[in-house]
Amino acid sequence: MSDRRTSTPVKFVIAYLVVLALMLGWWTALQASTGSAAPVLTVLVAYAGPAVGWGVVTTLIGEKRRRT
Amino acid sequence: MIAWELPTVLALALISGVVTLMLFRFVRRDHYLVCRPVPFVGGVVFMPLFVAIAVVLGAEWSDAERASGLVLLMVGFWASAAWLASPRTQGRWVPGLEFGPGLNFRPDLILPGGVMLVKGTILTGIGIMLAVQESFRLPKWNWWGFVLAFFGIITLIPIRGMAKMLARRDRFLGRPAGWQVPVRWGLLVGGLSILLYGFLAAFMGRTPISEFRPVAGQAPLAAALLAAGALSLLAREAWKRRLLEGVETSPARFGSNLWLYTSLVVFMYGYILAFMGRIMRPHLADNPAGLAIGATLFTLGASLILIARPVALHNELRATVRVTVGALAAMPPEARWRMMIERMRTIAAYPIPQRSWHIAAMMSAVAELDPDTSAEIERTRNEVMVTMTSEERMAMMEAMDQLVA
Repeated sequence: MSDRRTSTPVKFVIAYLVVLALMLGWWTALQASTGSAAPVLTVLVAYAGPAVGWGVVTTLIGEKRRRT
Repeated sequence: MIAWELPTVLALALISGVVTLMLFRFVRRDHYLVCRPVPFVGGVVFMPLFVAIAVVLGAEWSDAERASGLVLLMVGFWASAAWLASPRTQGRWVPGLEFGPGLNFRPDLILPGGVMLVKGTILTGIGIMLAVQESFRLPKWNWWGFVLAFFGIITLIPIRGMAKMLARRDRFLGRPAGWQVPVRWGLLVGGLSILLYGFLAAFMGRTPISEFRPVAGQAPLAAALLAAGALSLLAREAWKRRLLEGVETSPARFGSNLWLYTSLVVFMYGYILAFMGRIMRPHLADNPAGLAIGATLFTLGASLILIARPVALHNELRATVRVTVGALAAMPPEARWRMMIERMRTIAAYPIPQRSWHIAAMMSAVAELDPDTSAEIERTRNEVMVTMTSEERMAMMEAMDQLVA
């Protein structure tokens, strides 16, 4: 039976590409929000990105932690 | 219009690399939040607020709108560093992060102090830039400047942090420490120089090297301030060697960071003079808004370095002792014995208050381990005690008696 587990370097590269895609998406949303001619929306988008990332990293992994 | 330019994408790629490295799950899933606690994760994911600040500075808004956006983001930029002063930022030891004898890949043990230094420097720098203009003018942005500054951040946080970790391990084990002052000083001054040049170029809206060079206007004064700042930082590193690690008084901790901050401001002003070429000072009558916003950002920066950083550094030390004990427990018996005898001989040679503090910190770390591992560590400790000289044993017993009393 072959070992189908993904190696750590491959997982790291995948994780990096996901983070980079999220970062580019966040930056694009920030750029687009400046078109609204008011800083409020941009500031909201600015804080929403890291806040969502924080929630995803901690609750997703924390959730798995509770299940094990 | 969304501009996908090379320096922007390069900057985002570099930031993503650091964020991934610090948050990647190198350990078992149920160990993740033990070694990467929730406040630490928050500190890491909020570091890219730089990106939002860049977007706001480049937005086609009125000065008032851009200034309010900048201040709102800067408060978050400050808060995401300030909460790293919480003792919950540092986790406990988990297996699987070792990369050398007594060394673990633990960014939570070095990030808070480094982030406070970097963010405190940036907030202070922008504060000064806003406050010393003749008329209200917001900073601009250049992504190449940020790309260069990024390497200053890398020098000051992970590279200097690793050097501090190695230095601390050598001090804990009583090994020669002569290399520590020049290396730490070199990394501090080198990292600050790259950081300040990069950010000054970024906030002036110029490309480093090709468009942003020193001007001759105030060269002698600028050189004198840069030299004074750098030498003051060297003197501080030498002075810090005389402090008793772990039992420094609060005034000594605050004084050390005040010394750092004062030298930093002198060094920073030297940079501003070197690249602006004229004396810059506040203009209350002509630029009250710039002065008010600048003073606010300056105060936020000062609070990070003077108030939050001393607390964070003490938490880092305490957590390092805790993690080192866990790492000792995981070593093969012979390696553990060798490291433990070095450690206990070093502790026995400390003055009594420092000896007691380190023994108490280690005992509390041992108590956190599972009973079998804890018993194993205590067995090695007893074996080591037998091989110590009677003076060393007496010194250890004296400190333990004091703890019990």
